Amino acid sequence: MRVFQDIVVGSGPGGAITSHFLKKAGRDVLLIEAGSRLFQQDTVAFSKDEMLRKYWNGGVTVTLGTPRIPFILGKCFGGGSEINAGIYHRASPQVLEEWARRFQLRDIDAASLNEHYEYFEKELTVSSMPDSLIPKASKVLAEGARKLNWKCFEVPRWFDYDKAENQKQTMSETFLSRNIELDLEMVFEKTVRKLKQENGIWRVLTFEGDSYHAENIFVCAGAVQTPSILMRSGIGRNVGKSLQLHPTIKATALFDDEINTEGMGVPVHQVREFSPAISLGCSISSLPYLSLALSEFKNYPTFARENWKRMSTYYAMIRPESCARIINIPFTRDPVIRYDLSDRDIANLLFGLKKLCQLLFAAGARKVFPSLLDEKFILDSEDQIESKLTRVDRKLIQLMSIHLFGSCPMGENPALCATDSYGRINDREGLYVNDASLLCTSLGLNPQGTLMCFARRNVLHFLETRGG
Amino acid sequence: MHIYHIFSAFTYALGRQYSDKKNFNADADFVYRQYRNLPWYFRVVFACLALFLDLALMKGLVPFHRLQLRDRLHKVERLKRLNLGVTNDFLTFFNGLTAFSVYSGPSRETTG
Ligand SMILES: Cc1cc2nc3c(=O)[nH]c(=O)nc-3n(C[C@H](O)[C@H](O)[C@H](O)COP(=O)(O)OP(=O)(O)OC[C@H]3O[C@@H](n4cnc5c(N)ncnc54)[C@H](O)[C@@H]3O)c2cc1C
Repeated sequence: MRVFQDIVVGSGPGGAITSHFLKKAGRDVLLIEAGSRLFQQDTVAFSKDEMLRKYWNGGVTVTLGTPRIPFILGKCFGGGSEINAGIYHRASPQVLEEWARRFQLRDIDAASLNEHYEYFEKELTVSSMPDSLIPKASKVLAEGARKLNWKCFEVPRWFDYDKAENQKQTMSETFLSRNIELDLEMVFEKTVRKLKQENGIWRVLTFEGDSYHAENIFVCAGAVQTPSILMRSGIGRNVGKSLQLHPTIKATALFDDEINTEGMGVPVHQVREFSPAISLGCSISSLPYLSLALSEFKNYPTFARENWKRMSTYYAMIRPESCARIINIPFTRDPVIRYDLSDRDIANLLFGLKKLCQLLFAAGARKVFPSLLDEKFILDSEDQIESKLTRVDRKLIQLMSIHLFGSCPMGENPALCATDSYGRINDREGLYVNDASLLCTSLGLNPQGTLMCFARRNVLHFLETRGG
Repeated sequence: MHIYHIFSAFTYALGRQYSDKKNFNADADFVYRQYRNLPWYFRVVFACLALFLDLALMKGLVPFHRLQLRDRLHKVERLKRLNLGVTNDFLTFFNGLTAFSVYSGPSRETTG
C-alpha cells in the first residue's frame, strides 16, 4: 500500500497553491481532481462547450429557498480559476478586523498578509487593462458614475497583457503547470466521497471506488464540496452551516451607441459608492448571455440578436447577512443548499438594483431590463425606477451567484470555527482545509485574491511547523 | 419512450421564437446534456414533470412529443399563460438554455 505524505483534494486556486508549495518543499504529494485535465485553450471562454466541460453540474444547479439562486462552480483542472473573470481585490481592513474580532482569527496583521498578496500580484501579473483595450461597455459604467459623482474604479485582473494568447493567469496556466514540471502526481475524474483515519493514516475513498492513503489530507474542494466531504466523514462541528455567497441581481441595458463587440469578455469597472454592502459592475455580455438574460421577456425573443451591439449586462451584488446550510443526501455527491434570504437582504438587492438602473440611465441607457420575471418591470426612463422597482415580490427576483465561501470558517472561536487559524481541523491530526471555505465571512468583493493569500499563508505555516 | 424525445419536443417548440432555422438538434442535445448534468434529485423532478406534461399536453390521444410543431407551439403558449409555479420553473430552465444555445456558436464537442 502506497502512503503519500500529503493528498490534496481539488485543483482550484486553494488546491493548486497548496499542492505547489508542498511539492516544492520536496514532499511526496498526490492531487485528486473530480474534473478533467483541460487547459485554457481547450474550450472557448464563456461558451456552451465550457459550460458542459468545465462547470460543476454544467452550471445549472440552484439553492433551495425563495428566490432560488443558480450558482456556478468550476469542475476541471484549475477549478473556478479557469472559468472566472480574473478580477483581483485584497480584503478590506474592516473585514479582516471583523474576522480577528468575531472569529478570533490570529496572525492576520497587514504586514504579514501583504507579503502574500504581493507574491500573487507579481506571480500572476495582476495588472490594469491597457487603456486601448478597455471595452466601451466598461467605460459607460465609469461615465454614469462620473455624472452621479459616485466612486468607480477600474479593477486589476490576473492577466498578462503582453502575451498574445492565454492572457488569463489561471491555475492551469501558472501553479499547476509548475506542478507538472515538478512531476506532481495527479489523478483526474475521481470524486472524493469520504475520508477515514486508520492507525494514524488517512484513507481517501472516491465515488468511483478507488482509495488512496496519506499522512496528511488537505481538502480544497471548494466551498460546497469541502464541507460535504467532511460531513460525510463524520466531521460536523461548525462545518457547512455558514456558507456565504454574494447574491447578484442583473440588469441589461440598451444604449444609442455601439458598446459591445464580439469576444469582449468581462468589462473591468466596478462602482464602489455603496461598498461593502453593495457593489455594481459589468457582466459577460456576449449574444448568448444577452439572450439568456432576456429569455423571460416573451415579447422580446429576438431583441438581443437585433440589438446586441448596443446592449450590455451589469450587476448589483450584495454582502448579505443570511447564511446558507449544506445538507448531504445519502448516496449522492451533490448536497442540497438551503438558502433563505432575509427581508433585509432582499431590500438591499432591490436598493442595489435601483442604484444600478439610475447609473445606467445616467450613462445614457434608453431601456433597462432588470432580471425580474415580468415585463412590467422593463424601464424606459429613470422616472420609472421608483414606481416600478419599489414593491417587488421576492418570487419574481432572478438572482445568481459565482462567489461562495465561509462554509468552514477558520479561527480560534470554538462557537463559530471549524478549523484553527491556519486551516487545521480541530481535534483531527493531519486534516486541513485550504480553500474558499475558510474565509470567515463574505468579503463584499471578488474573493480569489484573498483566498490565494490565505492558502499560501496556511501551507507555509504547515511546512514551518509540521512538514519541514 | 426516452425522455430525450420530450425534451427535444420542448426545445423545438421554444427554439422557434428565437430562430426560424429548421434544425434544433444541437440545441436539444445541449439542453438534454445540461439536464443530465443536474444532481439526481433535480433530474428526478424534471423527468417526472416532463412525463407528466407529455401527457397533460396531449391532443386527442397523441402525446406532446409526437404532435405537429404548430400544435406544440400552441400548447406551450397555453402552458405559459397558466403561470403555475412548478411548470414555470420547468419552462424557465428550457427557455433559458434554448435561447443560450440557439445564439451560441456550435459547441465543439457536440459537433465532434
Ligand atoms: C463564473 C465565475 C466568475 C468568477 N469571477 C471571479 C473573479 O473575477 N475574481 C475572483 O476573485 N473570483 C471570481 N470567482 C470566484 C473564484 O473563482 C472562486 O472563489 C475560487 O475558484 C474558489 O477556489 P477554491 O479553490 O476554493 O475552489 P474551486 O475553484 O471551486 O475548486 C475546487 C476544485 O475541487 C474539485 N472538487 C470538488 N469536489 C471534489 C471532490 N469531491 N473530489 C475531488 N475533487 C473535487 C472541483 O472540481 C474543483 O476543480 C468567479 C467564479 C465563477 C464561477
